[in-house]
Amino acid sequence: MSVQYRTAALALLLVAGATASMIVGRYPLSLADLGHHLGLWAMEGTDPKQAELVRTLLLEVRLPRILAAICVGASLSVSGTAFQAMFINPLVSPGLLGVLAGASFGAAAGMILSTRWLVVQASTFAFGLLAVCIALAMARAYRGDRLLLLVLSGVVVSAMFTALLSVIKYLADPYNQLPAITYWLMGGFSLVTRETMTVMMPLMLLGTGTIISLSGYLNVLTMGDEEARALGVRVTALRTALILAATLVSSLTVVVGGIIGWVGLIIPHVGRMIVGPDNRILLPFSALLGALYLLLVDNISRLVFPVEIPLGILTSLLGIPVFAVALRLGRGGWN
Amino acid sequence: MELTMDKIVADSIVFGYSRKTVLQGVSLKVGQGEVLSLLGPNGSGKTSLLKILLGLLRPLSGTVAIDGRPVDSMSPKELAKSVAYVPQLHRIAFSYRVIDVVLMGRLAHSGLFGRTTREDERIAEAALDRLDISHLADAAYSEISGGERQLTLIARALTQGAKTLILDEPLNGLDYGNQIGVLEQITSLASEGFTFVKTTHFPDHALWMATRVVLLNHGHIIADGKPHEVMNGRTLSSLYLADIALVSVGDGLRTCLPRTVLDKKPVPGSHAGRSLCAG
Repeated sequence: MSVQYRTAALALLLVAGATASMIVGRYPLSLADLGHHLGLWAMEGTDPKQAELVRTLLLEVRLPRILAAICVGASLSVSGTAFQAMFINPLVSPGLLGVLAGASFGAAAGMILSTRWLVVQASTFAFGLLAVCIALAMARAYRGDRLLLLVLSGVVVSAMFTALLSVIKYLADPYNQLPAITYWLMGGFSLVTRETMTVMMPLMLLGTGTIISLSGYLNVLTMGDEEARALGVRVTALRTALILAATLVSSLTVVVGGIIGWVGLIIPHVGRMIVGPDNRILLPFSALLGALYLLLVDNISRLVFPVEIPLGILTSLLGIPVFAVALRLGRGGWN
Repeated sequence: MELTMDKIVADSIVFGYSRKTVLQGVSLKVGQGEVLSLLGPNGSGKTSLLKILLGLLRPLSGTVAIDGRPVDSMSPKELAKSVAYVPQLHRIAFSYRVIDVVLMGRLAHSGLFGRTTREDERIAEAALDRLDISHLADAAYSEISGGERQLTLIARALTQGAKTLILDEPLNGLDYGNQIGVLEQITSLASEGFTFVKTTHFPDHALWMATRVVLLNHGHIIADGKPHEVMNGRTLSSLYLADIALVSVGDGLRTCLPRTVLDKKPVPGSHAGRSLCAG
């Protein structure tokens, strides 16, 4: 099966998965109900009051949550794929340059300083961005291997914000704030609202779209800086653009759903095993695969257990066996 | 008609790092169709010079012009269309197909998002065909032989549209047959008007096919000219700090023989050999 068909098949699966996710839940619906409530067709004998409730459930609860899973899954996978290619390293994930540590700190600080969710979201985003900017500036300040310096700066910045997060946790009120911070950082979409997704979805699509549109250049970056430059690529400008786009979407994933680990590390590997390492094909494929994966895991988190399990815990627990199988099956396009 | 035009003009290049000077006022002109071999011991500044010619390193002072235009005034894409880099035999992290590696050469001709077109693919296929490796188009770059990889990189250089190719140790790590195969292609391309500047560790390669040899030592050019003019026992011995003889093998052909080694070659059955066996 050619890669185009695989991508198309995956896109269909994602649409089917999203539709199925709309009708399953504590209040199960039929496909006919779904069409009716979304105004696609009319159905006889429905109670208008009941219908209003179901409509609210669908549009205000299920749909934002499904879109969140899809956008966050796609964002993390595309950033992870781009980072693995850019840093020519299979162990790299979107948090490499400190964006997740910074955003975690930002979220915690926001929760301490304000009770308004908007402030928390703004602080999450701002500190995610700030962490990466610090890492970029640090790497610039030294001479030597650019990639190595970026990785080292990322490690340092991550460590710094992790320590600062501990400070916040230590200072937080242990009865209200500390549990709130801890649960939030475990990740999950139960708090996602339609308003949040209305703002975040276009931004995440813009960021992932930017990365995907630069995929031809990304292949050349994996040949090393000098070769890429000799092939006509403005390496530093390109890498900065890619890092900023990946940082934008990664920090937004924390704004939407807290820390959701492993998706950005394993999905690129699984995608590479299925369609190969060519980023022009791999990046869109990873986006679809990550979206589908997170959608499925989110359904498990809200349906399988009587109490909702935080998504970040599930992605880690499920991600490890998936990764083990992926490693067993092949090197996945790495040499 | 343009045979006299200089493809590369490097003038008084000085280059170095904080404590070490690597190149101390190197000037060089390369004309169209020349195959220039840059010889010199490790650390003589060969690779730095190549990278300065490619615009990858900036000299401390001095200028480089490619096709009559100063390198620092050219955008990376313009530069890539004029001069191509064929790096040392390397492994790449991802197993791209050969045709996709060659297609990377078309990025210099693409728009903002680096999309390649059907026409670009046709040009890449033609380059593979030109180097007789069309059959490898769909093979994984990581799984072909070293010689084939080097030819793939040369095909990529042709795909860039560059008429000047700069090669860093193009034969390093290749077996003898592959070395000959790559040299054959370089010679044939040069006869079509392509210009080559390459470094080599093997003086014999320069004797076989270079039209010009530049000897570099301690950041200075110590000799520059046709192979028969500049390559002799004296210059090579001083360059490599070994006793090297150039021996004529008839038909005006010569080859290098390292006397230092040949004189000490053990003779089977001699004393040294026996003592080894006894041990």
